Amino acid sequence: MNNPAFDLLMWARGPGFDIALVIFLGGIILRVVEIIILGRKKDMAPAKGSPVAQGIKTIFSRSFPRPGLVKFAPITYVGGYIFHMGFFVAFLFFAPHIAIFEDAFGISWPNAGRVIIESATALAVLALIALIYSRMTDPVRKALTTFDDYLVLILSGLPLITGYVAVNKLFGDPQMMLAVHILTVEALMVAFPFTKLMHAVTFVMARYYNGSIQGRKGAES
Amino acid sequence: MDCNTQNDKTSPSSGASSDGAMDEVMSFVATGNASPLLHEIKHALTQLINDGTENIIDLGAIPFAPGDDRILEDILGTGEVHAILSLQGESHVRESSIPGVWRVDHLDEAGQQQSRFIEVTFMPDILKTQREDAERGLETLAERLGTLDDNR
Amino acid sequence: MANDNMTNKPMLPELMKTHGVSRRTFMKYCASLTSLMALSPAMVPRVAHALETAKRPSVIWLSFQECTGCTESITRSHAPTIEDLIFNAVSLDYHHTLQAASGHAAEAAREQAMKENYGNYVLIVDGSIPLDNPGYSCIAGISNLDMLKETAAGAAAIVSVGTCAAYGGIPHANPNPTGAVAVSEIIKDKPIINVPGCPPIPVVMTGVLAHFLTFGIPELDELGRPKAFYGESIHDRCYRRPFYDKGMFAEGFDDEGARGGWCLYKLGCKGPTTKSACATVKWNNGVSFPIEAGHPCLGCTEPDFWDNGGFYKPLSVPAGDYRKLGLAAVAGGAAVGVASALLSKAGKAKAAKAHETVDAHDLEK
Repeated sequence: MNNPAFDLLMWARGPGFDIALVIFLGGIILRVVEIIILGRKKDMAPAKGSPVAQGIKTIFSRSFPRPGLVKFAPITYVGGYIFHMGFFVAFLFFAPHIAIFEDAFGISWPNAGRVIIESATALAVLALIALIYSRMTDPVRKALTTFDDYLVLILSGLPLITGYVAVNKLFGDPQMMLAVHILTVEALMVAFPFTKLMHAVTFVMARYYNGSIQGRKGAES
Repeated sequence: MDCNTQNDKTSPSSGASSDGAMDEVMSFVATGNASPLLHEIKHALTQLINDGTENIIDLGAIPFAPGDDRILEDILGTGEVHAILSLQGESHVRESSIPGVWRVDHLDEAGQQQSRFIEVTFMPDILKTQREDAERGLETLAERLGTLDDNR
Repeated sequence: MANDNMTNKPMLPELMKTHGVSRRTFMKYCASLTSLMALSPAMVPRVAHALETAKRPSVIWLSFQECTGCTESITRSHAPTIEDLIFNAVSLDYHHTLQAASGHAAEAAREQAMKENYGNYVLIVDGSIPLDNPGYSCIAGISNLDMLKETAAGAAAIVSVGTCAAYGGIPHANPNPTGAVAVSEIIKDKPIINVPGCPPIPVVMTGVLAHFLTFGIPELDELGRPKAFYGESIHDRCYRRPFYDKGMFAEGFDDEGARGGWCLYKLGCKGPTTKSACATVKWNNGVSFPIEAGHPCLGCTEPDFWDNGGFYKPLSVPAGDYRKLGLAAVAGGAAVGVASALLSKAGKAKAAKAHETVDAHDLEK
């Protein structure tokens, strides 16, 4: 007799993860290498400032919104920050997740208690809902939205929701819900190189490029 | 905090049976089930006094940690009666310091805990002599008297 | 051992009289058994009545591809209890390890018991059944498959004791060289109670038997296990749960966390996905259980627990050999990335030479 939930869990932890990892890592490296090799058009004019210094500065300065922008699009900024921070806390400071890094790289760091993790998860999901809502109701943004945008929003939210359900055993067979959680993460990994999720890696390069272009002209960015 | 469980082991170093320190840590692990249980006992005692209804609560059915036991001991305490029964292993029937609230603990022949109950009653059934046993007792007595008379 | 005393007389009053067991002792036993079966104390009179009126059943125990651990476990009641009385008084008409007879006499005893009690005997099975080649496991020249089918035909119910009989167990584990399967894969027309565990807790086995003898088949979950003993996961009843909730984990077997009795999740504990009574009923008459002894739960009551990625790999960690694959993916991705980029560059140069134009729609491509 087999337990279908167990079989699914073992597939998710085994072949499922292997496939997702290959696509995830292979895809990201592929695109990053492409971007670097394709490079930028050479600017023949003499440089007026330091491109490198400004480029690096911009990587960090873009983490804080320009004055006035938050008032301009509050839901996007506030929701965006809450979502990202909540997601990272729930992902990086939950002990079972740290165990994965420990198994893969041998490194580990202190974990946070259940209350913090659950609050972070809940806040992240709420922020996500607010972001989807604002995207669907604001006419300009709605016009700009493509399938990619909705897909990424949903794929980002599913691991948070299913993780919460699995850990707290809210409903369903525990093994099945854990399998579902792992599968949603794998879906996120598979979609990563093909969607705007790549921003998680390319934001560094994009910010550097923008900063260095301005820096070369002697302007601040 | 009671420190009377400290023994001469200063650190929990002996793994498997670290009594003192581990027990001390565990005695503060409570599930929070002691309070509702005690309220249930109070309700049962009220019923007993009002209309004589008896109640039995199975302690094995509720998740109970050593911390909860401590709370139970503190509140119920020890009373006037402690009966030790030899029934294929000992059974301890104790009235707590709250008359009418009895603790019945069954152990097996190896002294390991078999089951624990709280009985809210005027007299736990297991203390009473059972009719079948009395009937068999009569037979035994008759036999022994017969022997006594024969040997006169 | 199969005698003509498969009488219709209730067995327990006789036994009690013979062994000088008082009714008071019987009351104590009924109270403990009711508690063990997770029934309310109000059920004690019913349990008592059922035990008093239970008839002496014939039991045939078939051992197939097993390690005899389940028999060892069930016979580990040091202190004689009434469960022992019932179990020992049950007419155990056939059991490889416990019976005195051997050879043809043993098989004859089995056949006689089957004939005399056809339709009424309890069949207990431990060990899995090999399907690839019947010759892999035979008793008295009869293959396990044939013996199971033949004996199951006249059984009232079947109890699959141990994970091997219930789900295939260790013979069924990757690569399953004998084609081992569980009893339920072969017998489809009889009620089967699965009592998994490697081995199952002794008191769970006797408790299930006692329940079956008095009340019939207990309530079963979707894997055929009695809900009374397999309804809760280890994780939900574990005394170390407060440490899990607070995020205090042992990282090794001898570190500060391990000695402090912290949660064993990071050492591979399968408690969250395992349903069993170990955390409440415990082993050796309630002394301890693996987690209390400092070892993570193996998940031995679940099907395929041998193939769950490793006993010491935490549940959250991928079970396969992903490191090599990851490195290959990085290398492959880089190689393909370089190739693709160079191709694009060549295409760009060609387009520039041919003075091709670009408009906004091209950016969407």
